[in-house]
Amino acid sequence: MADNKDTLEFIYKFGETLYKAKSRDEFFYASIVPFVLNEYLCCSKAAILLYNEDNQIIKGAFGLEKTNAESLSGCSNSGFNKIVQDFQMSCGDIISLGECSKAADYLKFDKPIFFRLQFREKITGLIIADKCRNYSDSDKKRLTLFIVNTISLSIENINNDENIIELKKELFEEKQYNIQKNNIYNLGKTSAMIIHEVKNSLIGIIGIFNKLRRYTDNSDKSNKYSNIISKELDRIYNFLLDINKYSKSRSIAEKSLFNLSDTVKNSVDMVRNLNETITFKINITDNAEYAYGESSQIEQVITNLLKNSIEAIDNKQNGVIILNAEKNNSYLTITIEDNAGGINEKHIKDIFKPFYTTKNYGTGLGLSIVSEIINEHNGTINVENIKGKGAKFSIKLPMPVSKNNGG
Amino acid sequence: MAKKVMVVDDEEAIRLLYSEELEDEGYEVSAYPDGESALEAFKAEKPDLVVLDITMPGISGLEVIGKMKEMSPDTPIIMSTAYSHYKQDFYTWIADAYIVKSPDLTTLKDKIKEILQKE
Repeated sequence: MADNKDTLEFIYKFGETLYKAKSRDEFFYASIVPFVLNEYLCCSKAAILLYNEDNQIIKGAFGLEKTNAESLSGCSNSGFNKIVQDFQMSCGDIISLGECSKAADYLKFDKPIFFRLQFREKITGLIIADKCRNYSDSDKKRLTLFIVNTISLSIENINNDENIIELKKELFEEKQYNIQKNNIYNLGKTSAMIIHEVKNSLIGIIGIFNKLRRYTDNSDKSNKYSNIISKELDRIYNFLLDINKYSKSRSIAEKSLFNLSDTVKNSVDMVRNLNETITFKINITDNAEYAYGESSQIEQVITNLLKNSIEAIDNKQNGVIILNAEKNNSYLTITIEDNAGGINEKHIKDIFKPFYTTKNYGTGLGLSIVSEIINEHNGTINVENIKGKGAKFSIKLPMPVSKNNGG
Repeated sequence: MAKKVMVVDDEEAIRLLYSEELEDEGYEVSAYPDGESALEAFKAEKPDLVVLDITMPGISGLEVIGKMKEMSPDTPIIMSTAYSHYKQDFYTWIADAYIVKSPDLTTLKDKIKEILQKE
């Protein structure tokens, strides 16, 4: 049996080891040591299980008595980790001795003792020790509780550290995001101003040029040159009208009853030439013929989603895009489905975020504009992958309830 | 007697275009590059109708329309701009019509004819 000096020496070493642990793993293994040392609790083996914020086991470690090395499920520490993670014991269950015993059985412990790791009210983990030969010694028992508390505090510390690092990272990202958003906003404002100025000048130029044409000599050459100038001026003018439509502030839009079939037709016409091999299947039920909202915005939504599907289909053969629209009760549901194989599950939660893109030349704004417009209409948009086919976007828009169906 | 139309626009090409096209339609046209000179001439000229641009240096078209309506509430005023979102602006509610500028003057000419016939 160790004397007091040895005990102090041990506590000092233990504290120092925890303090110096360079990684979580090192820390866990160090935590186990006092339980399996002959001079202290003298357990045949001990294990530590740790929980994360969501009450799932994130980490386990075990230690064996040096002199009596029996194998623990015959595995290494990394293998043990897998075992404890597969073992579904929720954090709340630790309070119940029965549940703890189940865990001990699962881990093949014969005569287990349990120590809860907790900080204030929050349970953060569990230590299970097997066949403790010295636990009846009251000094050893108190020493053990001291060690358990030290481990609990250290774990809390590590968790806090990690949370702070995570928060700092999030803050930094948010800051970057805001800067970027601001830049785009300013760019948008500046370009709107430029578009306005150029468009204003063009109106005069085109008008005056059309007058000038009446005074030319009508020779083949002057007609040819005039036609070229006229055609190019119209092209620039229409181009500016298009951008203007796109960047038009959305807050000023007016909602009204509109013909959904026409809107869908406009969108399909606009994107069809991007890939003429794709088959479009449009099915709008009679009661969904009319919808309520800002039609040019809804057109934008449909156009963007169709473009997205077309880009996903890319060069694949037999591309099909199916658009269904129907009205139930007070909701209009529009779904757009393709057979391009679906969206990578890794990206699916991020696709509506602005500036998020997986395409080489994408701005990452297409789908974020879609979700913004749907939000402004108090609707919802979801995306799911249909196994063996592709992605399916579902939009739900609230519709005013009218007595006569379809308004 | 020919009806008098006043055109206010800071863009020289537009003033020329509007003037000539409206003269071809048989109106007597006077054109001004800014709100100040237009307001000054407004009293003396007593136009039958005003075509007014919104974005101009100096006082804006929105202010000009307010002052003109104060002086002569019955003179019809058509607001004309390259922006379509001014439709939402409170001041343009007092305008008799609102058109979005375009190289094609048909809409403007039709509007003028319609308003003057009502008189």
